[in-house]
Amino acid sequence: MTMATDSPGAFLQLRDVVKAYGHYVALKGVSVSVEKGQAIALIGPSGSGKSTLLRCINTLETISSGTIMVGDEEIGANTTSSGRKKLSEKVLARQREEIGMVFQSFNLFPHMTALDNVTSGPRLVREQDAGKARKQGMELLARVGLADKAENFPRQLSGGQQQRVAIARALAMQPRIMLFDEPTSALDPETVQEVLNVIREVRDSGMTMLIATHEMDFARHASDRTIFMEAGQIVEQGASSKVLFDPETERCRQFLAGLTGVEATTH
Amino acid sequence: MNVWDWSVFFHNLVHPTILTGLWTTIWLTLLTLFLAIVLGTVVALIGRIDSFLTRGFYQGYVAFFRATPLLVQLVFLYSALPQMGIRLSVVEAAIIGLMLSESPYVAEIVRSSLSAVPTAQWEASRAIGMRPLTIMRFIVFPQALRIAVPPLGNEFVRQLKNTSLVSVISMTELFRATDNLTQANFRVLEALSVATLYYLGATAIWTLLQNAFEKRNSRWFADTGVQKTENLKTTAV
Ligand SMILES: Nc1ncnc2c1ncn2[C@@H]1O[C@H](COP(=O)(O)OP(=O)(O)OP(=O)(O)O)[C@@H](O)[C@H]1O
Ligand SMILES: [Mg+2]
Repeated sequence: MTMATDSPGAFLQLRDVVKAYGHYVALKGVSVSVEKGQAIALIGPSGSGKSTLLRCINTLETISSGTIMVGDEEIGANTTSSGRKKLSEKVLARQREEIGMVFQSFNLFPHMTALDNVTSGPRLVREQDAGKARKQGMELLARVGLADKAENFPRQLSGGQQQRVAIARALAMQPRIMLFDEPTSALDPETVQEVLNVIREVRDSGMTMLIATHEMDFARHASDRTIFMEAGQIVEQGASSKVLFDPETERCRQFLAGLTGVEATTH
Repeated sequence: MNVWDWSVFFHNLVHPTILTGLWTTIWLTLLTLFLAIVLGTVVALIGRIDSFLTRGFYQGYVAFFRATPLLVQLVFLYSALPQMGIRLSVVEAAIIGLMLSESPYVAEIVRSSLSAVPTAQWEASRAIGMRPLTIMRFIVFPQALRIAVPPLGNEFVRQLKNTSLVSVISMTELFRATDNLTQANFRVLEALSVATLYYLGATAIWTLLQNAFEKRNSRWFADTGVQKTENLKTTAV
């Protein structure tokens, strides 16, 4: 049942990651390895642990056991032969800098303009010089197609535009990995594409990324591999072309069939 | 004696005693509100620390200072403390009393304003690598401030009125100045009208400042309209 896990070229490597909330175990030993530049789609029913997995990778949640490696660096803890020690808040913050996260609900800073949102990391975390941060921020806004909205506040932007700003804000920290947690689920159907196009462009630039998504079309066309999760476990993973078109497990087949049903009714 | 004498009214309006009293009322209000905001914020931040002790301290503090009347606090500070060997001047007692009595209200406003900022804002900040103090200062505090300004405006008005109580420990603010003046000419109606006018005027100026602040931030603060309509609804019901 378990698919291949360790691979020597892996850039992001999760080994037996367990996350418990009290008595409830949200991740029951998840192992994943992602090569540099790969885009992974994370699919599965609601409550299967997709968000939890992403949140553990950038240490918004502390895992109960297991290890997470990015490159040669262990994330969130220091595991040695004598045990596992949680890292200091200072080190965790530094690790988070390099693991970009995009949320379903954008979570832009409402009191800052689009540009100030994008430069918030460089300015407030890296203490970059304001002029330099501004220049880089404008470049990023242009990259997501929003140069003309630099001075707008989030509430003056559409959902799709806010999400593009949020992506630019994450990119401003020059992350090694980008995590997307259902980036288009809160959007009106007509703005979904503009955000997906930006994500596709980020992927084409060679970014390593994980995307929890219900957009099967996007998973099919823009991801190299797909991971199907259920009840805190990986049920099936492999090339997207395989998992999404011809899954091996009955559960994945059922899940995809159910989704097609939903898609059929909404379109 | 006429019921109303305009000349007395205008005489009082610019009388040095009244103007000095007005000035005392204004600086006393602003100073003690400022001190109460500092103290109340510190108390609120302590109350946010997740521990049995700090939460207990917070609840005890708010309950105690809200339950004791300002008048009792003032008399205690000015007249009872000397019995314990602590002698405060009138001004000191007035400042400390007004600050202490106001601080629990500010603490409650600060506490609820801070928790009104969504936790998602903390998460988004942490995800970029911000540390807690940075998040508090640049992300959460500015948003909480905008939420806190309308209720803090109410506190200014309350504090302005509360300053009249320090007349009891013989501090000559606007009300006591007015009273002093009537001792000389026995025209109470004109004198109190002048005092009322100045209290109203101070409140009006404050309201203008507050509106200017709210307007300045209305470009990003989305809830204003919602809150206003909700208020209307509740009053209409
Ligand atoms: N802070 C928490 N405390 C307790 N349980 C939690 C917490 N966060 C998540 N869970 C539980 O962990 C499980 C996995 O949640 P998660 O949000 O990761 O699912 P998901 O796959 O992202 O679902 P969705 O598609 O609805 O976003 C759920 O059963 C959820 O109730
Ligand atoms: Mg989720």
